[in-house]
Amino acid sequence: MLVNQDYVLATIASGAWSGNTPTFSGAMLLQVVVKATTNTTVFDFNLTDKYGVIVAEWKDIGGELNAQVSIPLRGIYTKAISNSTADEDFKVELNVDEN
Amino acid sequence: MLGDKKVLFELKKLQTEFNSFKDSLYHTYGHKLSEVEDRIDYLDKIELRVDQKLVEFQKEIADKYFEQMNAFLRWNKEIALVSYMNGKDPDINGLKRELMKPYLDEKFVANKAEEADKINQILKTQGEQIRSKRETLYRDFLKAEREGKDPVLTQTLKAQLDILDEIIKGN
Repeated sequence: MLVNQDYVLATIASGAWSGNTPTFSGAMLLQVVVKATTNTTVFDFNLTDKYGVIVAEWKDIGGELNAQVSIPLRGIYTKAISNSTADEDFKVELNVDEN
Repeated sequence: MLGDKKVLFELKKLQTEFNSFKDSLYHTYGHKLSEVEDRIDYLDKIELRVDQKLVEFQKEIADKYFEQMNAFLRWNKEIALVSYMNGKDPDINGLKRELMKPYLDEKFVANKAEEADKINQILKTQGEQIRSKRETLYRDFLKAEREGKDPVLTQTLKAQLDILDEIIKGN
């Protein structure tokens, strides 16, 4: 297993943020971690593929999202935080198996 | 003729009776009258004294009022001067400027308020336009990069974003 970490410190403005992943040439998303600075902050998080399809979505997360998943990845995906109740820094981490 | 004498006699008699009545009346009530007159004089004197006392009292109150007013104004002036000078040499022009400053500031703000509002509105509008434009550009860039169909478009959008960010940062 070759795990690659896509990590970014996201600064929320007007309750939203988005950013692209690196290009995956065939990988498996194993874990999604999105952590707000304040544990009372509520937010939504999703991943969109190159066709504009939302391949994963979590809503009304309080403070921290830590999900074990198994989503095949290819190409570039857009990570998006929305509807955040606070404008603050978020840690966004995708753990991907690129074996 | 005889009738006239009789009438005259009667008149004299009546006059004598009247005088007698008058004398007896004066004798009976004359001293009372003088007593009443004395009382009236006494009351007049009292009224006069009350008026004098009232005038004196009014003057005393007025004097005290103005004396306290003067003391208050003097005290305020001293306090203001002491606070202003803070151990420095007196600067009357500076004091005048200090005293006039709030008034002038208020006047200036009032005069410039409309102009300032207009400028703020323009800045707000332009700032909002820039923010909105950047958001759109960024969204387009993310989409273009994600789709990977047109690398030139992706690079162009990235370049536009970089330029806009540089302008916003003021570097």
